[in-house]
Amino acid sequence: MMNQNNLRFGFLETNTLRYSFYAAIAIFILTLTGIFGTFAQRDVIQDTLSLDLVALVLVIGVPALVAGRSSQSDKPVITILNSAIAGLIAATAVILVVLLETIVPQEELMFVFNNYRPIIGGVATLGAGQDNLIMGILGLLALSLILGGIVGGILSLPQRWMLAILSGLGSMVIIGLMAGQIRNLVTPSDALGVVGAFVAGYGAGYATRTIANPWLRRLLGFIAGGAVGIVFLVLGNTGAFAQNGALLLGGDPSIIMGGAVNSSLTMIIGFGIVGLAGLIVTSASSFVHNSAIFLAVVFALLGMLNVQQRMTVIMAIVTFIAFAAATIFIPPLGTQSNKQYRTLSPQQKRSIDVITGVLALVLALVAPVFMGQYITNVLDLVMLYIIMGIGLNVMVGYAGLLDLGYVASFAIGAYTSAILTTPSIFTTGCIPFEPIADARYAEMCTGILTNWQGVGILTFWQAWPIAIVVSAFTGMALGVPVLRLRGDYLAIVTLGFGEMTRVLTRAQITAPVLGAAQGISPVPFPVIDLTSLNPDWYFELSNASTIYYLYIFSVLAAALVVWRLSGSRLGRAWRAMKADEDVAQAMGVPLVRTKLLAFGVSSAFAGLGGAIFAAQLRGIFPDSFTLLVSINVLSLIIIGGLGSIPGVVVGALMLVGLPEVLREIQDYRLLVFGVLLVVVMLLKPDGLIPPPIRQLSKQQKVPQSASPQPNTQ
Amino acid sequence: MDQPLLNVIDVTKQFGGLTAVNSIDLSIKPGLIASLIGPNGAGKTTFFNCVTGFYTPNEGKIIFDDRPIQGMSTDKIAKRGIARTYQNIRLFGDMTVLENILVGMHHRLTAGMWRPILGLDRAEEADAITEAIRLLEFVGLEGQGDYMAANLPYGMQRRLEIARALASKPKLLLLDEPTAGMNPIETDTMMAFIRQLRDELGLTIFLIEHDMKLVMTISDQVSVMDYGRKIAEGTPKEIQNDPTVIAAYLGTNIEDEEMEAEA
Repeated sequence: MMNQNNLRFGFLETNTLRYSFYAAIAIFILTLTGIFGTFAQRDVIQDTLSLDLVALVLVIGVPALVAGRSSQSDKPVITILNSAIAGLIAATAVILVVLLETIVPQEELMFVFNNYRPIIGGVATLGAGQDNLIMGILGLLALSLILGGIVGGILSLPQRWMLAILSGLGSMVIIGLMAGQIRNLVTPSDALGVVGAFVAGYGAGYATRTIANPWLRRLLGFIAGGAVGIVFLVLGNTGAFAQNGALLLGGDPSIIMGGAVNSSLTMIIGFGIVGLAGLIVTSASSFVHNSAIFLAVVFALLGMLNVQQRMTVIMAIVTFIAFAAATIFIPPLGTQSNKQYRTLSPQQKRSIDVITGVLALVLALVAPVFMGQYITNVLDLVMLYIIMGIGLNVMVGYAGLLDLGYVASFAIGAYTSAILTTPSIFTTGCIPFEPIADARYAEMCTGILTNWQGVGILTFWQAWPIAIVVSAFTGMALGVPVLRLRGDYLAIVTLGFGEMTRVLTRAQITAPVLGAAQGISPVPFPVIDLTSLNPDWYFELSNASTIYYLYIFSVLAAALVVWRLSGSRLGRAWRAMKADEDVAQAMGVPLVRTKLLAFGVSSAFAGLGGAIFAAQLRGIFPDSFTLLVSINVLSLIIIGGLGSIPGVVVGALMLVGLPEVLREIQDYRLLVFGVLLVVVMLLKPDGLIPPPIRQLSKQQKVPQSASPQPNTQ
Repeated sequence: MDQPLLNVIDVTKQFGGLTAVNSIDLSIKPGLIASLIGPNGAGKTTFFNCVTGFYTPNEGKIIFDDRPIQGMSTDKIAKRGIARTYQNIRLFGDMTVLENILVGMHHRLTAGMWRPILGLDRAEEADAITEAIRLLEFVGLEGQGDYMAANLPYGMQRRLEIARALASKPKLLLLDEPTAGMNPIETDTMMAFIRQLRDELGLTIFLIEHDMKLVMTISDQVSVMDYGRKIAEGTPKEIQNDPTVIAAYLGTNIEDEEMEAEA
């Protein structure tokens, strides 16, 4: 499948040996760095499944998965055998550590490997202690064989069943780990209501297929959703929900009926919109359809989690079934909706696209109400990395210029904005070492008295564009000396730029301006002051949920700009340059200009992100601008798929979002990075979502402007 | 008589101690099909690289369309109206066929950075795509526009490379071994196609070729290089009877019996 020279020794394939050998080395190191010990205290399913057991299963299962996937045989037996052997080899790595522990005194092991925790007696020996260690080791070997075989068996199932089982198990673990943070996101009554409205709209979509007028259908979808809203409103008012709209089963009071929405009319309209969404997806592209239903499933599960409050056994089973079933049943429905979508006229397609876009935007805008501070905070971070990923994609994904110093532009944007907005003793009239006579200044001067950095003459909104422009121009300036460098050489030099920036921000020589290790604070938060229009319109973007809007606006803007550019003359020049610089130039692409524009555009997005980052953190410190930032951004665009905007989103969710939510693996972040990169590169060398092929000749047949004779039926 | 479109005067290119191109004079009048032949390693491709600006000649002048172009960068020379193809096909493999052609149009389009961002380049793009599709039809690749260039069969890749070169609306088209790796039937088709380029588009064509049948059939003018020097120039008939040419070929490349037989 992957490798033509996959020689075999009997049934055993070389790929199996190769991958499981790599895996064994990784596992040996993981075990020595204490992965089982650290994870032992954490439960995935309450009192049933602990995280170290999950780690053990993964440690055996992932090599088995990779080996099974790369098996070239059509016979299930051989796939199963290869997977089992890969699992066995992986398990021997764990056993080696167990044996090491019996030979070397624990203190010495812990002296060398700081995080090492004894693993005998834990999951690694299946609970067996020193006295019956042999049994434990044999047990683990047997378990690894069986487990590997099961993985191989799953792989031999039809694709859809395989995906169903894997997605069911995966989401069970992820939701189990996140349970603490997400259990209060959606109340059961809200979940029931919203999902109910969605299903009503979806049903209406199928029931009204014969109706030709799209707007009449949409109205019916809206009415179907609204009707569900009315039912819930009546139920709520007649006391069917315990107090404040919480379900009789338990769980939190309804957010919708309890607080966020303060009029019944708004609520009915809101439910109507959900119904409309349900109807729209029945004739939308399969991607839209599938993600919408997937979202509905997650919403329903969150409601149930709110009642259960923990990842109980029943919750785990429901989660598994829900995701497995979703994986099996949603795609065929999606194919149907896609078929509907394809038969539509261009105008109708366009109107569906516009409505989908608006609905998605509405969803994104109301999301912080449901998500709570913690998840919103994580999403803010994810979006920051999406912005940077989109920017770095211009350099690496399109123009093919490997940049390892992207953090430099990020830092320049952040520092520029911070310096311009942070008030200091120079600009406020607060005088240090003198008692503050005027009470008016007392409040204002707190925190500023010791602050020598910053000029504080601009608001965030004025400083933001300046930060973007400064980043773009410094990016271009850094680009000038490296114009002639390619590939590895360019990577090394840009790496140097990144480090230089970090060192400069820490240096004493720049301390009067940049504040050295103390950085610059307090950076003021952005304020939207529209009191001249309406006395109530004064918004401080001072917390995760409000800065969220700034991020989401920036992500959308960045994605739009880069999407437009990538299909334009400039984007083609970038990609041609990536493919073959000399030929591109011989075809008339001016290299200097094109490269510098790539540097500039790319850096501008880092600056854009940096300025928001400074305002969000209320201060900036050199430690935020390490090489790791550059590596994170680069890894996420490679995993997502170079040159692909949806790929950046998926990559950022996986590499930034997941570790942030799964606090337990924070320490193993880099290891997880490495493993993930290797696995993705082995299984999907073009990344998870490779960039789309632009079907230009089809696009051409669709008239760009309104055609003279409208062809609605 | 017309002024020559390309006039190369005393051009020399050295790499360290090696003189790859040694004071070559050569001129091509508009509307001609000119060929450059010579044994392997004679410096033909290096000479092409000097004309297209990939190499800067150490000495000499290259006048194109009455203006000197030696020492200019390849993109500027492309803009002046010289386009080329390569001996070993060099397409932008992970771009579609149409996108390859649109890159060829690069200097004829005007959108910079801001217009695409604001969505103001649509009319220009639509026109460019229409023209690119027409060009595809011209070279016989209709309907292949959305395939990845790297996935096309070999013969089509050759045609695409020519289409990409044509997209820049050149005055002079340089073809570096356009029939390399082709069988006799494909070669005949290519020969007819090169003629068609000259006759229908009014191009001046300058080609490097090893296939003597093709060279002798379609060329108006043949130049012969050996060890970096031009050793002969003339009509196909003159070249076939030139003793220096025969010596050069026989001395270095005995396999080429075709030359001998025809002489």
